[in-house]
Amino acid sequence: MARVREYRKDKVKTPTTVGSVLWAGFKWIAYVLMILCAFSFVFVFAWTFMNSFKTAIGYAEDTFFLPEVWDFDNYAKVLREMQYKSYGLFEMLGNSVILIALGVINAMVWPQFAGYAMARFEFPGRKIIEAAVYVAMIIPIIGTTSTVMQIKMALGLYDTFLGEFLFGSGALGMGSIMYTTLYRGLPAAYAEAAYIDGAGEWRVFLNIYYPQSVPLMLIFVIQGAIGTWNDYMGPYQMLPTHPTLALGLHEMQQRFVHFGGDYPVMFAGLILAMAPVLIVYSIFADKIMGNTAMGALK
Amino acid sequence: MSRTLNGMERIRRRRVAFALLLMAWPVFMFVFGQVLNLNMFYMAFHNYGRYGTANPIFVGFDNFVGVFRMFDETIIGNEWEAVTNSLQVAGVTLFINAPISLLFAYLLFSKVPAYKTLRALLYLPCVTSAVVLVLIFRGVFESGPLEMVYQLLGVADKYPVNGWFVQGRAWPVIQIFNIWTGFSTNMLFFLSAMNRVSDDFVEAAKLDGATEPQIFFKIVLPLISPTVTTIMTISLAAVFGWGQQSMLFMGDFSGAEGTSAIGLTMLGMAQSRNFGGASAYGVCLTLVGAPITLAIRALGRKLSTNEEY
Repeated sequence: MARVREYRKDKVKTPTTVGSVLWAGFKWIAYVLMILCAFSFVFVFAWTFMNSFKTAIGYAEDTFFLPEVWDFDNYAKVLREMQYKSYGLFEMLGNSVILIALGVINAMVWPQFAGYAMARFEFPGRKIIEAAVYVAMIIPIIGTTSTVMQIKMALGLYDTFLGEFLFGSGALGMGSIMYTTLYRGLPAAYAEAAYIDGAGEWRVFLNIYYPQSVPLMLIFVIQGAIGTWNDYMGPYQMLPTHPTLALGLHEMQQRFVHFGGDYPVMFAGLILAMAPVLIVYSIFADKIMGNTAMGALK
Repeated sequence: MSRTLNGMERIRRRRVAFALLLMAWPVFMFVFGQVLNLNMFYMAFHNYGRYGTANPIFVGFDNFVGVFRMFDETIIGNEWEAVTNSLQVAGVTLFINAPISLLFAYLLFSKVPAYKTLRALLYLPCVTSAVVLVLIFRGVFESGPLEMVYQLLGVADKYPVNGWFVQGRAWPVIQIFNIWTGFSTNMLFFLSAMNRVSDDFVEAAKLDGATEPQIFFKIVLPLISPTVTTIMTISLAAVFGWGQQSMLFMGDFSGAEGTSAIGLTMLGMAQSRNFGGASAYGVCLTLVGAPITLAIRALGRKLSTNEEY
């Protein structure tokens, strides 16, 4: 086997042409650009972190070098001051976590169901639904906020987590389209082989196809969680007595944009808001990015 | 023979029943959501009073007239700027961010040195709050390392560091931010699609003497074209609602200073309780945007390959 690989490796060498040299040059330029982009993200976060420990005067004097005096009071000040109305930091944090958990459940179930059904089965109305989903996605929904609010109130779901969960389970959108595209690209032969072995529909779906969607699903779950973590408009309108941390941060940001303020204190607030997400990301980055489930069935 | 046919029919029915079971809740919620969206068409023909709470009064096409007046400089204002800006955002999405996403995804797919680290770092904007990114970016532009760059270039007097978020300068800076943070998500989607391209295809092409550009343009790109089409269609549709970045950068002045956008106009109308006007604008955009988006999708599908890979 190793010999075969060696032979193939030897055979796959392509001759050097002007085109291939130009392409190699282009790839190198793109690679350098990619490194610069990646570095810029690291740089701005490191820069923010460093400056979050400066005093206001220290920051005014210099923004580029390490602080002469490391001022931890900025963080204490943020923890004391970040609030929304009478709700404190930890209450807002708890509400954010609950909303994220409910969103994760929604992201893992309904779009998968819809994507799998639309990709793998012919059923009445499938094409109409698929076209309708595209059309629905470009209808601006700004005008529906008041209607949603009214209906939630009528059903007793306004300002409740259950209401957010149920209204967040509208699965036909970008997620279902992406899963449909993914499942359409997977060979039907896997299912046929499983049917011959006596597997039922649920088993084929959950044991064969669903695991292959895990990398894509993780993207949606992480993005959904981050979206919820960052969303201040939704809780502001629909959960007035359950404010999230994003509302507290947005409140702080608005104060800063309109009235100005102390950059280091604001940076400390940003670091605190980013920290949980960055910790989770650094733990799961490889899993999110990896395509182990995909590779297993290639 | 008939027994086999009956068996096949039974299997077909069982599969349809399973599909309908999976689709039941998503379709119910979709229809429910569309009923709410359809209410927008009703609202477009009604007036809800100054505070948006009065009983609806049928006003015919008055709200639509109001929308068209926004485009008449001699009457109300210049909504063309918002439309032009939104089209510019579409241009950035289509002609800058999409190629960058595709290129970076291909480099990562080719497993360039340190590709795992680069992949993780390039995804950072997606895991960071827009509020946080905007404030950091603003900090860099207004008081940070740019100041040092100006001093090094000797132009510190010409370009004051705190003078970026004003008329004429803010919009290009916001678009730089848009490019800087806008390619990561799509890059990962494209990479995910590329990783599903079988190594056998690539190796077979190499055995046939294909060059790397040929492999990219004639094998990888066609095979991932369904994903590319889908992503681009969705990204373009999202342009109609774009405006959050302007709002975060400029606060209450987001509609002014040359940073307006269609999404911001509609948000402003809704916030000022002009529900009828916002809905009428939404209806107009739907009538223009829906055929364009669906046509792009159809074209993309026509150019795509349906090969399994």
